Amino acid sequence: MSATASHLREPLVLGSPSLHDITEQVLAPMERKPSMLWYAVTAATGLVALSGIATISWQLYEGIGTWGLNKTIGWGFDITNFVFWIGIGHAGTLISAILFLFRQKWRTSINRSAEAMTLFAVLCAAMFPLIHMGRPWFGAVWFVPYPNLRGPLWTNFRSPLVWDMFAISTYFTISAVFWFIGLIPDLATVRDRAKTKLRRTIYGTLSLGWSGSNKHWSHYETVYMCLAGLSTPLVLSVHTIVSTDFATSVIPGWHTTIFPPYFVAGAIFSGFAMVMTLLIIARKVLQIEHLITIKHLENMCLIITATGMMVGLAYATEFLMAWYSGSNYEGFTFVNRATGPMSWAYWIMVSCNVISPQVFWFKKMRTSIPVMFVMSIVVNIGMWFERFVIIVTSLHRDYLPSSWAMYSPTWVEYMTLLGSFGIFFTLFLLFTRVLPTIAIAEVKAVSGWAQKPAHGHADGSARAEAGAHAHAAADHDASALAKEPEAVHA
Amino acid sequence: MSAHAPSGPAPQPDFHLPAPIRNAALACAVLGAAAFGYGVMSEAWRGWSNGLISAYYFVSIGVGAAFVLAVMHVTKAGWGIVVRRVPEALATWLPLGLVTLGAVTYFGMHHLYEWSNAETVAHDHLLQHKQPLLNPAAFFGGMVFMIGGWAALVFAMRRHSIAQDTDGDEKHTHANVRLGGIFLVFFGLTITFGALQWLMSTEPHWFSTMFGVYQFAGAHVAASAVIVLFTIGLQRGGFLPNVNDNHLHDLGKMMFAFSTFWAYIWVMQYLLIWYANIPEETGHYLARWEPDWVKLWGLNAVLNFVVPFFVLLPRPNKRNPKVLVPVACTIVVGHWLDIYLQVMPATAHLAHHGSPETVSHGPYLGVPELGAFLMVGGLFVVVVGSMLGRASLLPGRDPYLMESLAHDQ
Amino acid sequence: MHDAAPQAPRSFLVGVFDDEHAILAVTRAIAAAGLPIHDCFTPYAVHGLERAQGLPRSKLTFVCFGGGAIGFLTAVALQTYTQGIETSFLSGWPLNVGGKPFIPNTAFVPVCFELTVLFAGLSAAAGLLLFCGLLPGRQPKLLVDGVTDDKFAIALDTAAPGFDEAKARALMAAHHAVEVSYIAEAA
Repeated sequence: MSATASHLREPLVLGSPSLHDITEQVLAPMERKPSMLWYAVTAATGLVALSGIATISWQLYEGIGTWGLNKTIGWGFDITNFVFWIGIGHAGTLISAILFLFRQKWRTSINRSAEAMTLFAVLCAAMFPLIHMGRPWFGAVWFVPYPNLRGPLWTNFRSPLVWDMFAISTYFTISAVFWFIGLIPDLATVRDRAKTKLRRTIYGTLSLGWSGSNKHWSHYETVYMCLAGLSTPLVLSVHTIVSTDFATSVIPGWHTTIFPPYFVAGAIFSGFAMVMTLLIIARKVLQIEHLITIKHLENMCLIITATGMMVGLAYATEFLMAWYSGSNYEGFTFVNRATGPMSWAYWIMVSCNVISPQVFWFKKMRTSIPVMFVMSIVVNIGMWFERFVIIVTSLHRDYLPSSWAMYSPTWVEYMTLLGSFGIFFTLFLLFTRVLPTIAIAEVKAVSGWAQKPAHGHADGSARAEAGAHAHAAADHDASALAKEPEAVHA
Repeated sequence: MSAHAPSGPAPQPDFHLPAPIRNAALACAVLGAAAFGYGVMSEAWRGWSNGLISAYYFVSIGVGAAFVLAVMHVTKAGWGIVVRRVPEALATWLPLGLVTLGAVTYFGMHHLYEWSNAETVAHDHLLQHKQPLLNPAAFFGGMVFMIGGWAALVFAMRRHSIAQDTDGDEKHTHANVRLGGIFLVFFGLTITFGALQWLMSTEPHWFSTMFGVYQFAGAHVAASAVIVLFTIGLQRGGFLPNVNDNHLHDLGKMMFAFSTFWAYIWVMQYLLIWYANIPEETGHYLARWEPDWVKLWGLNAVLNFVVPFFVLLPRPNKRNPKVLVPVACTIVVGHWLDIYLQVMPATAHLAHHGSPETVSHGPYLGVPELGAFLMVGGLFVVVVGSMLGRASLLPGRDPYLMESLAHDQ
Repeated sequence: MHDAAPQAPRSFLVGVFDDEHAILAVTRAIAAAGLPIHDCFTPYAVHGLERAQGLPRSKLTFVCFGGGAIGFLTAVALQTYTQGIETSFLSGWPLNVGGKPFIPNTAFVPVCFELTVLFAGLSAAAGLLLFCGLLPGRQPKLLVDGVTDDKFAIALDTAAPGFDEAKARALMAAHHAVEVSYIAEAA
């Protein structure tokens, strides 16, 4: 396969590691004792997570009166955080499914951790509608018929919030299944290397008896393709349905038809930024910089720039149509966004999401780790504010000026937001310890791709050449043999 | 079906648009022009509406092909090198597309666009409000700028691509990555305005922020279908010896994926407007739910989504020319219907202003419809066919060529 | 650990190779020579090996499609039954929300889509485990050392009709097998 790659391609794996090297290098972090740094960082994020959980417990006990919401602004931090976290998750699915369908080989180094990130982000997201219910233990009533005098009353399937419940739970389930299926061959690799009985038992159980059989691979590849094909429209549908939570209403700033694709683009945009934040740290700490190369990060920068411009285009289209429609309410809402009392949030959003990603037009910027790291955080700040702008600034100026209000979040809301970050990072750090952070089997499949004989490594190129000769000889034998039966028939 | 790398491309025969096809296409164009002229004479609004539908139809295919081409360059899609000359030629329709679209909208303006009528505008404060965008100067200036810009970038990409055939210089590949990127940004910025001015403003009171995306989706799926038809046609004639089932498979997947994307946009635009039920927005759908239009409205989704989706779902069908051709034809017809449904109910309403009972005398399907389509379509085939013959159908010295030849799935 | 199986475990002639080109070539050669191939074992999915080995296309796409169809019908039934039918057992009574129809096809699209995907994905995954006999606690029947790391192996059933040890060994050697040995299936 490597023979057909154009010489313009850059190898996906640097330093021509052998297949065994890849196994060693990916599994090293989970086979050695964690470093002090890992303990320190995990302890810190764990503490933040615990304080978030404590805050949530307090608000469950006391009620959501502890939040700064009022009758005009009924959705604030809670739904902002929900949409933010769901959006973060989308990049994982994009990398694992959409880039797979587009045969983007570079995805193999990053899909595992991006999918893990998806699952943790969806968990964080799902938390917010639950706590917003105030008494989540009644949440079960959502789905069983509610008994009353006239007979059972079912949930209203015409409500986008019910669609949301279906979308989020389907998304989580399918992402988890996709992720686990991807893990099976790698878990078998861990099993076969395990030194202790405990490890062998745990990973032996998890790997379900995988033997690398090609009959299994054949089914496996088919299912992987099916799941990628299903996840692609699924990921579009999830943020589409989240966007309908707003767009089916008649609130100016919420009701606009471009919301579905615009939300999806924004989700991918923020998700890629989060993948970048995590991977820039992870590749350094786990010493896998030759597997997650600058090229991978550069590609992500390009996707961030492209989706950032789509988001910018959507902002512009909304403004254009608010004017074009000639509707007073639409016009007011958008002018108010840019110049009203909450315009600071709007301008943070525009500068973080539309203006700043333009630095990636320059190769120097999109190959500089510090620039990328700062940008990845800037983009996520911008995308959090995007949801805040959509939700809060659209609500705070009602049709009735007498109900106009302002919103000031309380410490409970701040702590819950912070806590969700703590939960997310803690889960991710634990993941790097117990599971292979890179899809070993998939990286092996592409590791030979576009590899050039390196001038500096005489042994490497000699090995490659020797191999090539061997194949040529073997191919010759094979073709000679293949001709035999034909000769018999003739 | 071996995974062995091929040693090089099969020899590429020269292609010239066969005279019978060229003459047939020219005859279609002439007969179509006569029928179009008859349409304009007998029922002016209907004639001009069909002019707009057909002219915009082929512009959308040209720009959709340009989009496919730009994406191929930007993503460095190795598989597609052997078919790249097809979208490259299709996109060269754009200059004539500008001429045809400009001509029909210029001469038919008052039959197509309510806002072009000064007296109507004087009594309509909404149309006055929209005048900065909806006036002839902005309309034609914008059209020249937008389609002219698309065409300039398309020809620049094509020039580099063809120059590489002789000098084999990789700088052309790099230049096309940059040009493709510029095209995508420019296209993203302009398609919203184009869709708004040329199509959406046939109903100048109606608005939908999704409309640009909707037109993009339609253009892309239709262009994919036309690429499939041309590729299979050329392959059948022996002019694309390096294209095999694996490349058709990818084209089939592209058609499948973007037909689904079109359906997504179609459903969501409808769902949101249906759900909010605001009178400013619902008028668009109410007009298409008139008893005479509603069947076509449903048929639109069948042709553009249901048929391609279910037929192309099984893998073997995406690789089989005998299946791909009918599906591509379905989409080609479906895309025409999609634009027809945008324009006709609106212009019919404008023509029968004040007498709603005459509005629902649609659908109008007859000689003027066919004539306008054949007129522009015949020209389209002649132009694209001769552009295909201007350069080798194989970008023989493209650095990614080997990847395309070895493409296997 | 398990009780002994009624018949003796099968024995396989296993050739081990160092890279994917070798396994592809040797598999093609063995298939062309007419020897029955039991299976190949690789650390990753080797492109083209399933064709070399002569495996049929996986039928799991049909399982996936069937699951999706069932999911779609479930969603349609669930929504119409609970929203629009008043008389039957446990069905809800129609509730006017925002003047929308009781059975609005448009508003049912999202849930129909989600359940289609959910059922299709879960049935494809379940089908995979079922087709391959992968279950928690299962041990591989035939596990060649190193195939989950960097080795590529081909196994020939010694009891299969047409098995020819000399021919097989010669082909494996010609393709630079790093090891050729007999391995018995785990009980």
